[in-house]
Amino acid sequence: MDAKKKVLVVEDDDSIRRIIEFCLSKRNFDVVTAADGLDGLSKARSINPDIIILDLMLPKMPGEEVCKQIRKDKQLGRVPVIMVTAKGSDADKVIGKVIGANHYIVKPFRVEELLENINRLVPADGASKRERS
Amino acid sequence: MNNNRQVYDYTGLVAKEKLRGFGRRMASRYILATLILLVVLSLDYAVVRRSIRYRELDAAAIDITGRQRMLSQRIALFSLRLAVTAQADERARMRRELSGIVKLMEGTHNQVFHTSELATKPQFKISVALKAIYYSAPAYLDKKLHGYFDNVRALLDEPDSGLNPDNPVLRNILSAAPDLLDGLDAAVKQFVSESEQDIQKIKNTQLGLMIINILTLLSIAAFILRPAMKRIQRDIEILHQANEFNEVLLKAIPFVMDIVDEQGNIIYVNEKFKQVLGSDLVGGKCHELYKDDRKPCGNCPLVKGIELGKVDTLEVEGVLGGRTFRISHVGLVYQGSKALLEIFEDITEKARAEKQLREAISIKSNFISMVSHELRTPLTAIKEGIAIVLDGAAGCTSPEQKEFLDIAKKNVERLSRLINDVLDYQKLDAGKMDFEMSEGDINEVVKDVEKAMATLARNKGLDFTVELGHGLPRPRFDSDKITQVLMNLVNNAIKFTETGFVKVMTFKNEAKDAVAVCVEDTGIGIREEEAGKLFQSFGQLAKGGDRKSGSTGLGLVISERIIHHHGGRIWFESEFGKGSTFCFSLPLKTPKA
Repeated sequence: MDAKKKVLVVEDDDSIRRIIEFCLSKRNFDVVTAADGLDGLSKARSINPDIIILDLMLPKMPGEEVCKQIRKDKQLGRVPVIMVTAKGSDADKVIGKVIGANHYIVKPFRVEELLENINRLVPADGASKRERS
Repeated sequence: MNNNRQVYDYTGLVAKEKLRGFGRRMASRYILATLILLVVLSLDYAVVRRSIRYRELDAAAIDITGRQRMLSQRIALFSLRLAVTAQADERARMRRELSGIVKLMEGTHNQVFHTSELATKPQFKISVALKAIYYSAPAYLDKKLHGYFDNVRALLDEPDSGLNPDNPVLRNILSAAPDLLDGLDAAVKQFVSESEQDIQKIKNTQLGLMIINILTLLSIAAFILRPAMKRIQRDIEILHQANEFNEVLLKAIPFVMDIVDEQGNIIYVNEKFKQVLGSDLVGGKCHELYKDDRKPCGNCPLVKGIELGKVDTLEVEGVLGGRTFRISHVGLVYQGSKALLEIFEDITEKARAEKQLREAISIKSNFISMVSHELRTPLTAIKEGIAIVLDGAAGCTSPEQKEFLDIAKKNVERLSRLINDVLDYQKLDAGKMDFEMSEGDINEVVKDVEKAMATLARNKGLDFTVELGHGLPRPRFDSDKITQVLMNLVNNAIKFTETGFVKVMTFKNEAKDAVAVCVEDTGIGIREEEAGKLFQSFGQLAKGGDRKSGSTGLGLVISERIIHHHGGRIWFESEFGKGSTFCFSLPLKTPKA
């Protein structure tokens, strides 16, 4: 049987964090949360998630910096990142080489939309990288 | 020469000071030259006078000596006649003649050499050569003359009986006569020669003086006339260039410009003016032209009187057929009297754009206000809907359902706070906020806030204390608004403090003209680079660091505006990592009270 896919949710707003956590748990994901950028980065390194949901505006370390660090990381370099932004105009700079997110969604968003993108970026047969863990 | 300056700066090249200096220099040279001419002419005059005098004296001397020469021979002749005549009356006549001639000759001799007029004239000097003729060997003319006169007198003393051609005295006279002739002749020649030498000297002197005169005149030409001409030519050239420059400049200036006198008559217009308005307007009244109006414009600087060098700038609508102009007025002196330079800048388009912008801002402001108000209705429905389900009025809810309903409720409240902040900000921004001012006790406000916030602080494990000042004066303030400000400051303090305390203090300021309230915390503090942004609209929101607390970042901006409306001050001190103290003061005399 397949192990649960690990999702790291880095989001400073309690309500949003809790809702994402709840919805993904219901869909059989293993959800780990962090409330600021620094915590998010250290948890990413310690749990080696299958995908990271990252808010752009975060205390302690901004989301784009977290994303850059993840992309530089040997172990995490290829983990898909979905960036959550409040402004549609931020989205363009998030995708691409400098920041390196795989996808972005703009608030307000529906959890269904988030799920579709998670399933697209992390297929059911699992990422090769996960087998190492 | 200073060519660069000539190119760029025409002012000062023919400056009055420089011209004055040049004028002074030329004047002193001219005075010097005139003095030299005066001296030379005076000398010339003196020389001529002197030469005339010399010539007179010389002529007199030559005349006298010449006459003596003649008289000496006449004496010899008459002496002989006296001796040889037989007629008594002829003898008597000869005696008379001889006596007269001797007197005359002796008299003139003495006139030249001894006593009388000529000899005492300072200009008349007997030369060494003449003295030699008269007083020295071999001539001894003076001695011989006196001897001659003595002989004649001796002859005249002789009685008629003694008179004969062999008379020894007569013999002496006749033998001395040729010698005397030679001596006197030599004297005449000497006088004539000396006179000629004098004339030559005078000629030389006059030649010298003439040369000096010519040189002086040449110097005047070289040192006064030439530099003056050069200077005048240069200045004319500069003035010409400056004039050309001014003309080019005046033609190029893309603004309508005119000069009006103190009565408002247009006395000068520039090229642009002529292009825009035609050239037949000089002499008209300015207000008739600009506004087609019989009366001067109300805010015209002419009404107050012209102040030299003062610049007034007015924006006038409806000028020159409905356009908007920025008119800059400068007081100056034109053609000797006070006048006003007016520069017209057509800002019609800019004014229109600004008006449109103001309208747009107003529309936007009204729109935000309207939308925010409209948002409140659905928000109320959501809030109440959630409340009904949470209260169980619509059936039981599971703990999970309750959790998410709570989240929903919390966020709806947050949303309504945001809307309220936006509305407050909007009202303050548009100046539409109503303030109900009354005298009150600031400590009461602090107590109210304490009641509302103390629990929040203590739940977070913070020490919440209040230190109220005693006997504080009672400023005038809007109690609700000041409560809102203090709530905001205390809320921020709690929000940004994890451990330690939050303390609210009230006191009189040092000048005793205001009461102040401070909120001190031991929170994260404020970085120096962020301090400046604190009171800027949406400062916190732009930073995006604080959504946890549900703040818009408008709190401090709103607080600042409320305090300013009271005539007070809001400020803070902070050390990053150690804490912050936010204070505001309310003056006892409010400006708008």
